[in-house]
Amino acid sequence: MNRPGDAELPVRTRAALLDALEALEGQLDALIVIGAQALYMHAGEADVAIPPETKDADLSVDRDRLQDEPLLDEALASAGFHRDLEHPQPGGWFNSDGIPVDLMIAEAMAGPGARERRGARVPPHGRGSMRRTRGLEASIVDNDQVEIGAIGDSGDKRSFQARVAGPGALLVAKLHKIGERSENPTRLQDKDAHDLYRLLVAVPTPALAETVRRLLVHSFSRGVTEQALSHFERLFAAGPAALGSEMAGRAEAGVGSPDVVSAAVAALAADLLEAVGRSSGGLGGS
Amino acid sequence: MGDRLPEGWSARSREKVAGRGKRADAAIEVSAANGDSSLLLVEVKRNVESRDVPELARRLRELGTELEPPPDAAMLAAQYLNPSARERIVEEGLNYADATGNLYLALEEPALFVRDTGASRDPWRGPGRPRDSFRGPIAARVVRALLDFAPPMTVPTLIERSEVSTGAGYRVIDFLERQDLVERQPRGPITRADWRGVLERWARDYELNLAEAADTFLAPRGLRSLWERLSGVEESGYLLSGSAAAAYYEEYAQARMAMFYADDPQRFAERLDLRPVESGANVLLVRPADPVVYARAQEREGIRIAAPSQVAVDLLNGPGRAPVEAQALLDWMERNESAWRR
Repeated sequence: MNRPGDAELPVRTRAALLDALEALEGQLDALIVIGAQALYMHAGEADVAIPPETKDADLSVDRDRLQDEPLLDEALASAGFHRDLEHPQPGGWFNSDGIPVDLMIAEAMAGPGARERRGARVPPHGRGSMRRTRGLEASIVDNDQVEIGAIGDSGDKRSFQARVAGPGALLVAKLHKIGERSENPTRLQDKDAHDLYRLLVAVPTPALAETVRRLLVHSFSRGVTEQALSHFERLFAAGPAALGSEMAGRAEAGVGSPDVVSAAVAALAADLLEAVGRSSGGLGGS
Repeated sequence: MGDRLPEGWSARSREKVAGRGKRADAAIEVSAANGDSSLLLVEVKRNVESRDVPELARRLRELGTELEPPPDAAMLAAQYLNPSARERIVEEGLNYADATGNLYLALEEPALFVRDTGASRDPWRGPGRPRDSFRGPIAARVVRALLDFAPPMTVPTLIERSEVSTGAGYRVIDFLERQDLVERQPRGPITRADWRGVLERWARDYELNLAEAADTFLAPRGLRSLWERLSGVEESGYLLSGSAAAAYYEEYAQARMAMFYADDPQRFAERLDLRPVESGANVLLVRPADPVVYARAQEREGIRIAAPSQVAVDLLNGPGRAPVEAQALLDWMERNESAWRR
């Protein structure tokens, strides 16, 4: 750790991801990197006013490739990971450096149980080993093998071939998160909408549209993708004043240009919907 | 006047020609080769019309009787004397000289007659009135040339670089002199220009209110992606100004808003995938009122950038934080004068 403060947080967070991949090497084939780390890989260089925020490492578990052994909980615990003892969360772990690592699983793979029940039922793995999350179905369909190593000059030489969610999967997952929370606005975080803006700025519309079309064709991801696009229309493409567009702008208050971000995310959302043939008169382009 | 005299003659200004609390504007001693001399009383006026001549002549004769030593002849001098005023002056038995080169000097003792012709139309007035502001494209052209080239610079050179007519150019230079923004040797080159003062005064008079004149657009993927697109297309009728252009000169400038001059804003917007927006614009497009905005533009990384003097005036008139950014650019221009002035 050469530099103090937040500047090294992305380095430490990447190290936590490597810790998790190392601990779960026996299940590596079933893991897909999602969340902030995946966004950072796809859109870390996007021309936006605030730096990407990576303070945790999220993994999506592909049940179809998950082996009975090693057990996820045991593998993590024996590699020095620990749980939050006061507020235990299904799938929630911390590495020895205190960086959160979350194991999640697409709702369609999480086994029986009400949606409110957050722990997945995937025996023989423990009930608290994965958190069921709607929208992650897309990460099973849209991902790529990537060589993942340390960032910065930490001297960490570890490197793993692992699957990383593609931009379409990240879009769908993020839209589900914002869409679900839009019914309970106190849980909304402006940063989530800004992450989406970052992704839209970084990935050319035709490439993103291509992935989304694939997600719409695939039976496993079609449902969640349809639902995500309807959130997209309502929360972003409807215009700069739509809830999601406003959130994305607000994330830059004081450091960037909120009005520009709101207008831009609405325009790019409308572009994407049009490119996948879902245009229904969004105002983003006017 | 001195260089119009015959070989061996000379003219020099004489101090201390005064009497009973009155002073001459100037007194000139004209000396022949043999040392004989005549004292010429000179009255200097900005403008003299022929109707003013009889009264001026009467006052000069009156003044002449009160001065010590008494003058031998009198002259009316002005910036410009029109033909009828010149005729009337000679009828009154006076001499004349103007700054365009019209000269009439008739002395009895020592005997001398010199006559020369300058302008027959007032280059400072022409068809219009004298300037009282830097409004309009003519002033913009002269001011831009004055800013972009370091003095000393002759007036004809400045007018040539400005690409304006002689008369119109003179009127701008006259106004600059009256505002004490430039210094000129009499009938000579501009020796000093207070460039920052000129720029700030020009900006106050500049007619372009950018916030009103500009069409507002959004480059949804931000300015960096716009630069990439711009350097890749074959496009000539545009120019980048404002804070994004300032960032190419002054490293601390932050480019959040791009202001372009574009000959055809609509076509420019379509080629660069800019979206018209009411709010949230990060691109302003302005059709230039005069091609002077393109003068001495530079190309950086495949993008055409306005000269610093143009960027500065646009920022001074720009929306939001632009005027503050203008001061930062002007400070940079002060520290790095050799980097932007030829």
